[in-house]
Amino acid sequence: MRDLIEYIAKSLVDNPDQVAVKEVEGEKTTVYELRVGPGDLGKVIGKRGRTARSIRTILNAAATKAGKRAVLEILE
Amino acid sequence: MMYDQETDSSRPNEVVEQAKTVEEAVEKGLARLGVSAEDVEIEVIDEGSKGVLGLIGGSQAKVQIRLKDESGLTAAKIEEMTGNLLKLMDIGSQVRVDREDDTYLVGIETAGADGLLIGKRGQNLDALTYLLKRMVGKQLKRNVRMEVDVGGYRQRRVESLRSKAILLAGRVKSSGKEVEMEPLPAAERRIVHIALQADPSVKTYTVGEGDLKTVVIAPADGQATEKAEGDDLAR
Repeated sequence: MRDLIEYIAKSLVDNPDQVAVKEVEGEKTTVYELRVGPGDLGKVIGKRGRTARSIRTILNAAATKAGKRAVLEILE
Repeated sequence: MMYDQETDSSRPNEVVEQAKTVEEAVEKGLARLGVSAEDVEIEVIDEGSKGVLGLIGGSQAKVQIRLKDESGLTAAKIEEMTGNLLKLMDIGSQVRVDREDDTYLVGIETAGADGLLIGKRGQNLDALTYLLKRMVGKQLKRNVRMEVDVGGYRQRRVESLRSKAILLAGRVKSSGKEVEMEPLPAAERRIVHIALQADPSVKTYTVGEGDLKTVVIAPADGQATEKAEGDDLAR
């Protein structure tokens, strides 16, 4: 799941080196903190949040397949 | 590997190489072109032979190596990124990319995960399509027109929406009353609009907000209508 988020984010931003994904495992839900370099926040959020929403949708689909729950937080 | 759009014009885009074996010839050619195997199309002209007793009549292997054109490279990039994404989602799949005019058609076949990849009302497929467009666009530094389908879902959806629109239009005509369809995403509303464009006795328009947007099929202007919207009469 971490690799999935990282791959998508790295493909979208200007500075792939500054993409980092932290995994915080909870009881039922795993939270993924996506961090991107300065100026790249808009690239992963998109117009009216469409990119972020799409990443979350894909993440949910992948998590469902794995029988888990995943939440994505985006930070700069 | 990134494709450099401003390729040095002094560099050839096609070479013919000879060597003892096909592999060696390909290697030589790639080195001369300065690219990797994924960026080229390789044609074997002569596989080479050892000849009698390895002494007489032997021929060298001969290959022609051509740089893929931009379209081939774009298709390869799309295929690669789609494959990577699906693999990371742990979905076993086959990806095929075809080109139709200026649009790349991405066909995905999964091993039993079609429903998951399509999602409710195709929303997972919409998200996948949107992300792939962004990702490929970013990597190639230009917008790429793409349509993504999973197990022929889009195609079936287009056909069923079209026939439904025509059926409903028939009802609108005979009743004189407008009909509202179920909520539809933008691409599907477009299919309905287009399907009824040529029918002069009905008109279509979009109503609703956000996820609830849909298409209303109504009798065309000038035709009898019981429940005409103020907007439409006011012009």
